[in-house]
Amino acid sequence: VAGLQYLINGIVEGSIYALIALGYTMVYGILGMINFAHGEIFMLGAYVGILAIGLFMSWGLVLICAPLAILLAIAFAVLVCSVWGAALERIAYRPLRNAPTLSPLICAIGASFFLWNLVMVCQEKEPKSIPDEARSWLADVRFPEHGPVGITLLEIGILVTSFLMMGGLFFFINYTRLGKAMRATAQDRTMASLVGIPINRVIAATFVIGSGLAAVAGMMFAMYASAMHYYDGYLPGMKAFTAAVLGGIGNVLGAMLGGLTLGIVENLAMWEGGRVYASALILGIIILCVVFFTLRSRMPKARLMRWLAACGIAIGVGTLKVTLEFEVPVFDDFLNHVLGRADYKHVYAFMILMLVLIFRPRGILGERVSERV
Amino acid sequence: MSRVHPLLRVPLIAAIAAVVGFPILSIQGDGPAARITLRALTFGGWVLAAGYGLMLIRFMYRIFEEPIDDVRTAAMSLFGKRRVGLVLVCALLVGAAVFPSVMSRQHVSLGFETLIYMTLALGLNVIVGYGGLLVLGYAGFWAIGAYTFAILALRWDVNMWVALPLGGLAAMLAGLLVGLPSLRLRGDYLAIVTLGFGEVVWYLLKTEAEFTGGEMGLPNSSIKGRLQDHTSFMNSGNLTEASEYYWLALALVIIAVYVIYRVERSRVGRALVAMREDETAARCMGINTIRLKLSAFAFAAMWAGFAGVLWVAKIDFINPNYFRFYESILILAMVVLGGLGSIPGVMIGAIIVNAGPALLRENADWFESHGLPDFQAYRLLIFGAALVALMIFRPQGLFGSARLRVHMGGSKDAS
Repeated sequence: VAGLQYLINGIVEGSIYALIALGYTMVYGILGMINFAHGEIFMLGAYVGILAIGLFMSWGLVLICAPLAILLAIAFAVLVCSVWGAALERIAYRPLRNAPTLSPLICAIGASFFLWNLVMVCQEKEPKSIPDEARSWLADVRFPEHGPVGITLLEIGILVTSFLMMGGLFFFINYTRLGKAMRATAQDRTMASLVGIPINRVIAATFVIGSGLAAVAGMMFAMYASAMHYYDGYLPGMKAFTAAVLGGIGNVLGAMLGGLTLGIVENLAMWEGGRVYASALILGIIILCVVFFTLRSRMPKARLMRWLAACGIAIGVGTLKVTLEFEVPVFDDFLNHVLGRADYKHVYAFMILMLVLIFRPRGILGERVSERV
Repeated sequence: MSRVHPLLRVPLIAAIAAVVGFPILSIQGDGPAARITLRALTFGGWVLAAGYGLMLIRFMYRIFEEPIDDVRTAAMSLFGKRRVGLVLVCALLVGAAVFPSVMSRQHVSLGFETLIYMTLALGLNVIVGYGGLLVLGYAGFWAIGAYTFAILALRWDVNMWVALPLGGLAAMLAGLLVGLPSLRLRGDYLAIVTLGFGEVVWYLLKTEAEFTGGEMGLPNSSIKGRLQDHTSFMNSGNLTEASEYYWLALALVIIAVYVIYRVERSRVGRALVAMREDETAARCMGINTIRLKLSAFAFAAMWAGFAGVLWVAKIDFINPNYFRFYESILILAMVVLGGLGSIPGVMIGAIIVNAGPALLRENADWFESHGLPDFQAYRLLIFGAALVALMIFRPQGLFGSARLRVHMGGSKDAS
């Protein structure tokens, strides 16, 4: 049951990652470039929201009606970030649209550097925190009020908001005119412009939408963590990028799935009671790979048989390990060392990112391997 | 916006920047103390000044381009191309060699730091400039070299001269390890994988406190080492003076320049450039791209390893935070600023990026008394903006070779 709490935290964090990942994946789908500055837009959204809440507080609005203040702050953050996203596209990315691979990426890194240092220089170096008056009506209400497992109103709010936004985006991309134009541009930019789609406007719209989603995610992250640093855009940004790659970059549904998966994996790894299952699972996966690849040379034709045999052996060993509780010497020591350390929580994301990029660059849901990979 | 006259475009952009930047610039203070200030206007003013400044520089450049060219060709025809280069190199060498004897201790340390960054930038240039493989985790190799020496010295009392090749070797192995995925990946995916490598190294150094001292760094009282009882990293190579380390770093840079210069003009160097321009074509011409990529990674990482060992020996203390992600980006900025694939360009880039801010910091009083802001605080901001501006207006860098234009954009007909 204790694992359930980790699962809930994982889903909440994962849905925030998923919202950010949508921005990465849409831009990659259309322009084929990694918008490295997206994490910074996310951070900027959180900062602008927090600043707005501070301003509302000095005007007394927070004390009168905190929910209204927060909604206004989110709206303000979305507005500002959309403008920033559009400006970023216009200034930094549009001139490089047809340049070879490296220049847009270096340019994006420069833009991201610029943004986080701008925030650092303009605001103080201390983290910005959300005043308790604005946050406590959400974060301090918990269901059930006591007990090992619970969910706060804030977490419910985050889940509902992000799922609504993801659903809205899914609908938008699949059924509206602009969404169709976006998909057409993603498939073939030249062809799309030939049939009369204003691709500049479509690309700008992509940045506006992605940045707006990032701003909402930033605000929710700030509410969840209650404070924000100017460098807090980088790590969530990289994790969201991992999520986008994991789900298959360019694929909107994949980004959502990837974000949730990453959040859940990260948080479940912190769960001590789950160590037994985790080690069994990882051992199972390793055995699966080994058996699968040794069998490949023995019986190259029978693909299904190979899968069945490998899965059978792996599951068998995994269950045996859980029920008999035997320890594999080096392997278990290593896992116990690695799992559960707070610092390694962030390493998982990078490891997943590297492994996916190396072994399966198209991700879980990706259909085609892009030309540039 | 393109219909607006260029002279009017700058104020327009400044006004937009002030409006767009308003929330983050003008709202100051927390909670009830929040207030609106006029900072956005000042920011707009700076954008205005920067815009007109850039236009002025471009204007001057156009005026003086021909006279400078004339002087250069005149000098070349008078003394011959080789001899001019030789005289320049000799003058620079003499200048660099007597630097510690005329400058203060502080400046010698700054010079040492700059030389280390120069080595790093030269190494990164091999892989990014010649090979066209973007590496975003180069500080990871640097960290591996540095920590190899630190751990060896603390545990087994290894002295610096022995550790120097070992550090290079360790970084080289790491380079091979990172190079392996590069066989499958190209372009930005490879860049992200190397970024991941740099980050994983940083987290490992931070977390595995039994070996690396964690955030406390090395040497560190909780880690019992033989070295810390009686001496320091600095003494382990029998060098004590800052200037001796300066000369050692200078020697490293000279060796690096010579070796990389020779490699660039060898079969391997030309193969690398060929692979950068078109990998498929290069393979068709019989280049073994697998071996080439791996050796390029190992070769580039090796220099970072050497630089790391020397760095620890001089500053006598390390901590994972010296090797954070933005260090990698700063080294990349040196390479890109100076010009990808150009040895003198990269060295000048290292001087600009590393020594420039330090010199500004020294003269902070002067700036303050003249009502100018403290530029040192804005250095990363400026480098970020410079990266963007360079990629758009001058992708080959300030001193880059024209050969790169095909790869980095610019004019398509330059090949």
